[in-house]
Amino acid sequence: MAFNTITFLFFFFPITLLLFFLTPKKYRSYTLLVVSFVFYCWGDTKNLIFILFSALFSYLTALEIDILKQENKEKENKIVFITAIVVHVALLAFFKYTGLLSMPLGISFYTFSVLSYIFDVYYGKCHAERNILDYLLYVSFFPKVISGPIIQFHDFKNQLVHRIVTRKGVVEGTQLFMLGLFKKVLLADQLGMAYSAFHQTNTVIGSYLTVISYGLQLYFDFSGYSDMAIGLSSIFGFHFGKNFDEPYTSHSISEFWRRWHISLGAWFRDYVYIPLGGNRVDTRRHILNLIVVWLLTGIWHGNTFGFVIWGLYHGFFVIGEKYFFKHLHEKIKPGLQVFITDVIVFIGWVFFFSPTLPDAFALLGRLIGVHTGGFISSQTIYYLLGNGLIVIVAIMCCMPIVQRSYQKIFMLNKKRNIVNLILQIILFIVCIAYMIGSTYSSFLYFAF
Amino acid sequence: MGIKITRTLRILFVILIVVYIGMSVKGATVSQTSFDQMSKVIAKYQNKNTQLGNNQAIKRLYKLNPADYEGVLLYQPSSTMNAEEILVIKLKDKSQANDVKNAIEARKKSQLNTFKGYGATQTDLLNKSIIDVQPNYILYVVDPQASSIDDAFKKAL
Repeated sequence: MAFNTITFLFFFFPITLLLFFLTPKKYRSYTLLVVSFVFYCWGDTKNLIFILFSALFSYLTALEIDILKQENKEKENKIVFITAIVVHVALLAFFKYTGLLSMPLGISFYTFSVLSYIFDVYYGKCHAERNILDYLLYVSFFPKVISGPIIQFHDFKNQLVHRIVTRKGVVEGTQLFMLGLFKKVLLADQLGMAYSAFHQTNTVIGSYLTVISYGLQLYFDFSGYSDMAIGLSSIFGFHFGKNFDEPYTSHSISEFWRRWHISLGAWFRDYVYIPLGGNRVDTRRHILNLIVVWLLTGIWHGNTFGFVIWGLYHGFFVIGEKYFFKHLHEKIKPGLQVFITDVIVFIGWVFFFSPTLPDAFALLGRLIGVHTGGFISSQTIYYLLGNGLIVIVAIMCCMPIVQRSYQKIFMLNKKRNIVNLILQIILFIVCIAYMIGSTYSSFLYFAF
Repeated sequence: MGIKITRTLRILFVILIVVYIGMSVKGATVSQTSFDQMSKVIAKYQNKNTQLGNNQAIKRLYKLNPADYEGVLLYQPSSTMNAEEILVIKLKDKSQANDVKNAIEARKKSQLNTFKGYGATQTDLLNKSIIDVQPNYILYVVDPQASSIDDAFKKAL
């Protein structure tokens, strides 16, 4: 069940809220656990057993690691730890890359959450969770189970123990959810239509518009989903950090990755990059560490060469910015830095969305005028007239000034509570009207 | 919980996971659902944008001979301006799957070319179409409700 469906908005969510607030505070986590399982079953009943077995396996692994630690059996502990990592990675690889069975919903995000737990226990960031229900809630918490954000166990545990449901949290969470819904329904889905239209053209301008509309769609789709997930969590008393922070205003690729899918970047930093030695090693080793991280980032997204190239492509620029063109980069004016970063990122999306490498290179070729149907055609102009506005609006919505204006206009504040509330309701009605009037559109990141 | 119990249970869950996956893979070999049962499930999703296609239509649109398969059901677009289409085929053996899949992909490509240039809505539907290849069943669906139809198809297997 996706957040942008009538079933979720008018049935599942209100019932969940009702059950949550009717339950005595002490037992609210268990209400959340039950509704989380219902939420998961709604989308994937078949694989629930697999998810349960796998979660129980990691729960027991962590307990065993804790016991072995207390008994100072380091060697044995390491074997248990490595075995658990191998089992989870092998399961992810089996489902994701063999195609023998349908992929359990959210398995990439689920696996990374579980691995974060095992890493945290092994490296002493936290103790193994004794309460199995709390652990299962961490694994299955419905706002994050399908597409993240990937919450590390020690963060979740703190929130589980100390969280307080406040009026402020509920209001802020609702507003963030609304912002996410707006991004998804009014921007991402419309950009998806624009992308489909532009993708049919083979002119130079049409190809640029294809790439731009996809890059914008992906951003609003995934950041919209993340906003909804974080907003929902906030309503139930869990406060998680941003998953996107105006990424298209970054001055470098390194900065872009500190602003794009922040929870995935943090996961790779904490559980791959730092254990490999991070930057506290010689230059060669550091470059190797970065290559490993970016290769894994690409593979995590999918099993085609396109994703591998996309990961390494970003790795190339991150390494380059660090070692090879750092001085050159520093000489460029900030505005131009942002432009160059966006050009690099958007070109990278070609590998991300193209079904095959030849398709990707054909599109890249058209961007520089190779095998095109001309610079522009009447067909491109026709699509541009129909979809140009949404592209311009989306570009503007990437800018910090527009985002701040949105907050001023729509977010509740003491001075204009009533006006802002009315505006929020209107925005919600418009979103619903769009949802009813258009084809259901899933989230792009559900595929990963 | 002592370490012996923890370890035993841990190993037990790995075995359970392997058995579950093994059974799922094995269970995914063939569906026992009859073609009539499957047709009834899919028929619920027919609407004004589609019409029942006959054997000639299957040969013309997909270059497939219905006699080669255990069952073929086609709801073709009711007009040339529609892209909605549902095809369900029950295979006689697994080796037919690739040919059918290729035929479906060729049909999809041809439809994309047909609507190229003027049919943004139809193109969008075709891009979001689903080809679900199961061991002895194949579904191709172009429809705003493609995901729901695919879910119903999977449940009926």
